Amino acid sequence: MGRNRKKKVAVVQCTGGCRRAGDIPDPERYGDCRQAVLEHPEGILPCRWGCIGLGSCVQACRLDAIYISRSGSAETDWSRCVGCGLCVKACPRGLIRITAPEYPIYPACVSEDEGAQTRKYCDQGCIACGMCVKNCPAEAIRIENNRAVIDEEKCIACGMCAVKCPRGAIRDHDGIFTVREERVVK
Amino acid sequence: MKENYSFTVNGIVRNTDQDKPLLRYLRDDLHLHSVKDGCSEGACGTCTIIVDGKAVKSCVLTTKLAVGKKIITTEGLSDEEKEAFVYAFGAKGSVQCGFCIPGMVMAGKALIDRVPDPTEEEIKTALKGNICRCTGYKKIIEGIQLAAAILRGDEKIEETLEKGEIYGVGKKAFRLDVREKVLGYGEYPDDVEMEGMVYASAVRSRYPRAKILDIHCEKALALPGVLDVLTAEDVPNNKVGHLQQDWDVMIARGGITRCVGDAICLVVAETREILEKAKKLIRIDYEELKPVTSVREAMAEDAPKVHSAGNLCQSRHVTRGDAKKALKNSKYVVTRTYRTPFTEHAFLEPECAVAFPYKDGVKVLSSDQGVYDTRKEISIMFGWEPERVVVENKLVGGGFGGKEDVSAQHIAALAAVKVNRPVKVVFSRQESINFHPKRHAMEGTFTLGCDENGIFTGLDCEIYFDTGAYASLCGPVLERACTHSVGPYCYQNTDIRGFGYYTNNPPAGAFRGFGVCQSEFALESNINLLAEMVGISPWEIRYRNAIEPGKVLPNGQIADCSTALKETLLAVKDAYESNPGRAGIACAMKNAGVGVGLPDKGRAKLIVHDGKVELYSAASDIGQGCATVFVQMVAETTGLGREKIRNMGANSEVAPDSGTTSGSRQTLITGEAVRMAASDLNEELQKAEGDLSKLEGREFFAEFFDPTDKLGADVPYPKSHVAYGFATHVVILDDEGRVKEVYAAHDSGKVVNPISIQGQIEGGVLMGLGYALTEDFPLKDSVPQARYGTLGLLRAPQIPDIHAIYVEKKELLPFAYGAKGIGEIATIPTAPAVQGAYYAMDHVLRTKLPMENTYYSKKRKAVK
Repeated sequence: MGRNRKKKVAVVQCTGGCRRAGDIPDPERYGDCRQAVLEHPEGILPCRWGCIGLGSCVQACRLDAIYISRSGSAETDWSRCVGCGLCVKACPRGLIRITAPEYPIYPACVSEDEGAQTRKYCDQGCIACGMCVKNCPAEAIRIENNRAVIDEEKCIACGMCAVKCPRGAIRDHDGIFTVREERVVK
Repeated sequence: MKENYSFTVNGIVRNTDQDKPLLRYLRDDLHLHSVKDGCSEGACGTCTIIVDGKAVKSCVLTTKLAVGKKIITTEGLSDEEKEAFVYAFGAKGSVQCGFCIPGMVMAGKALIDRVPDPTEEEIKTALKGNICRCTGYKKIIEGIQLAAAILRGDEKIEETLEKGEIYGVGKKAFRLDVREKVLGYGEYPDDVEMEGMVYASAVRSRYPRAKILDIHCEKALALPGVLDVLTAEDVPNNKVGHLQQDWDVMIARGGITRCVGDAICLVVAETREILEKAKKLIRIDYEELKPVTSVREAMAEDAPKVHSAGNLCQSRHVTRGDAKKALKNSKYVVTRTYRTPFTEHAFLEPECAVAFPYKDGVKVLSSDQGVYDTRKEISIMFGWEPERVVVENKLVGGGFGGKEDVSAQHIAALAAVKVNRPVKVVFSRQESINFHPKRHAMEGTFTLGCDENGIFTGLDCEIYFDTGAYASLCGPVLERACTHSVGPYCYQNTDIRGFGYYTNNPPAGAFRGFGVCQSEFALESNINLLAEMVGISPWEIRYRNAIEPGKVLPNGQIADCSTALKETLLAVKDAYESNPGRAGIACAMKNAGVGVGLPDKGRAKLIVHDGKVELYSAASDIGQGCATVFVQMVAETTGLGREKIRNMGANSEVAPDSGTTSGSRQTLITGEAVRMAASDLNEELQKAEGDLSKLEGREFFAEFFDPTDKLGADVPYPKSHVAYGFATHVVILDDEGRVKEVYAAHDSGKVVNPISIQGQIEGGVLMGLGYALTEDFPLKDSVPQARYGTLGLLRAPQIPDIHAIYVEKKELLPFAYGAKGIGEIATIPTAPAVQGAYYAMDHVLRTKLPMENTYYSKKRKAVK
């Protein structure tokens, strides 16, 4: 009684699918994401929605709970994350969302581009095909502005959408239904 | 080259080259039957296992995705964990039908491994993906808490509890079926595997109403592994039905379908996979016809006839005194029209049966509410003497009325006889939803009057039931709706007209409450309006009118000595009155026993065998716990402990017919038969100075029958039923309009098993809350739109605090130690009490279920 263990955590809604091999920033190249976005109005990566991987969130985090994964996008570490929201503020793309650990299933793409467009530059982005909507047993997922959105009020975190997603755009943070990009040990 | 998927299951490395749902691999290849298949859609949670420390639904995960992972099923728990969960779930009464239980155990274990002392909130969150339809979750949450405490070393297992040396009536009895259900080795029909067993499944109509022009089976028959494709021509007598035989086993060529659940042909194949392939190869030519989608359409003069005799399936006229005159002379009169939806039972175990040739006929391993009913329907289909069909119940994963009709049993029997092999028929979840009878949708207009003091004067009502494509139990359900629309009060002027119409919607039939949920919702809502007009509280008006011993019920029956409605009202008075503006109240009555002049008999046979008393009585335990109750009755009568008594289950070959599990009748009707037989045994036992071995081989048979009067009997005070249970529920809302608390006070006579009755009440209340607020069964042109996960079943994080209260009176009926049934009544008063609570809050009378403009409806809509 009286214990409050309602832990919050952050998820990054991008898998870095538009990057080509060798295009992964290393920690030496970390910079200011917001500055970079301003300096390159024409865009940095093929996708104008996704993570640019310069690590503003990594720098903002005081608990070392977020890192740039091998795919070049940020990834959170729930064993350390407390859901404080500093990374959310640091991300110029608005890619980071606070949730609870009982919702490990999340759409890892916020692109509002048409499916055909997304398909051109990213092999993991949401193309709004609706496969997840069709297979969700709880009617907890919908397509909104060309991307899948989960309603956590209804979600039972069964993982069906992650398994059925033909693009791997819906991820399981627990790494059971989809593979998780682990932190590269320095 | 074939792929190889390798992972660890319960500590053993397993390899497979097939990519398929892990659920199928665990059940079919490894025979780990604790992993239950409740929906295969990710919605129900019965197949929950632990993968790398997380609770995961095995129907979602695949063998391919499981590569390298560590998997644990209930079979793989340590002995310490097994004992902790068995004891905790038994001691707390967490187990009813048991089908969800292994999944609950695994979800609980995954949490306890992470958090050794979980809070109630944490447990609720951990169970959010696991549906339980029986318990209302509370007992499962308590079970997980106790299991955690045992595993931490804070609590100890009391071994004497499960042994049950003291097991009599009123004792804290550990249910007989806890261990097998918690550990998952207890067999439901789908867990049966037999040498040479094959599979059968029906191809069902694509349209609710269509003419079958032709059926093309050639391609399916040509597929290797397909044994046969049966059509209506292969059925000796193509009609079944619980009471009225109006249900086609299959729709013949040239025939017209009546609902989307209709079978057109039955494919029999060597394996599940071949069966699924073969079903896709069947081509049916339809001529689609416009369906009859509502009672209104069915009543129209030019409406297509769903059945040749017309669309009116059943009607009843229940009348006493002069309602018209009484209402005319009443100070206050209220008339309102109410609408309630179809409701799906959503039992966790989809229909399944295994049938095989046996002696000169067939034996069916079933999951139903009456083995003799199933035997009768199957024998009618074959045109056989009933004895040639033997029906034995395996564990029943919930019924709630939805397993009174045959579903899989008769087609399994048909196929088994045809191919001369054991045949398993298991319904997919959607097939189950589309096929079995629902709670009747109702539209009813109720006029209730009272005098200046709020004393009821008379009731006039007209009830319309949509019974869908088939009659099922339309007659008796409609009749109970009519007879109980009066409520548990004392007025003597009633005019009640009930009509049940056929439509092309899925059939409707029995469902916990048996018509009374609908009519008492309407009546109790009207009562609140009258209270307001009189200027007294909803509690007061009920108390003033409440039936009490010696007074006459509106049906003419004199209330017996055990009647304790007023006691239930008093039990919730404080809760009601201390929450003004946010509390609702409703009463209910429900018969125990079928009554109305029918030969409703309980039968039991006790045989002393191998130093134990074997109890034979074909009375289905569908999870409510009657099997345990009967053993308690024997224990009470003879003084023997649980280990000396064995319940041999429901098997039509060896156990006498003790009627259907319906009408809240088993505890009372069969219970009394068991008590009578036990009493005879005890007499002999006393003569033998308590030495049971001296009675070896002796048999003691008893039949109980307490006659009742048929409806409309020409006697001044007809006795309609052997007994009535009574209840009052109070529902309290929080500031946001969420149900915060429910006080459920019940009179069910002597309480036989105090743990079980709480679970029955809590589960009933939650089902009633779902009916009131979240559950719906939308149809589009007669086609069900809901899937298991979208029925609106309440989940663990949504449950309010439910206080199950039972009042026990000194004056009891002389049967079954004074026990009356609890099965149905717990679901009845909840919905009108919720209605009353919202009315108290915002003064809007919600006449439709599920209710609109509530906290819950807003949540549902917001995300659409």
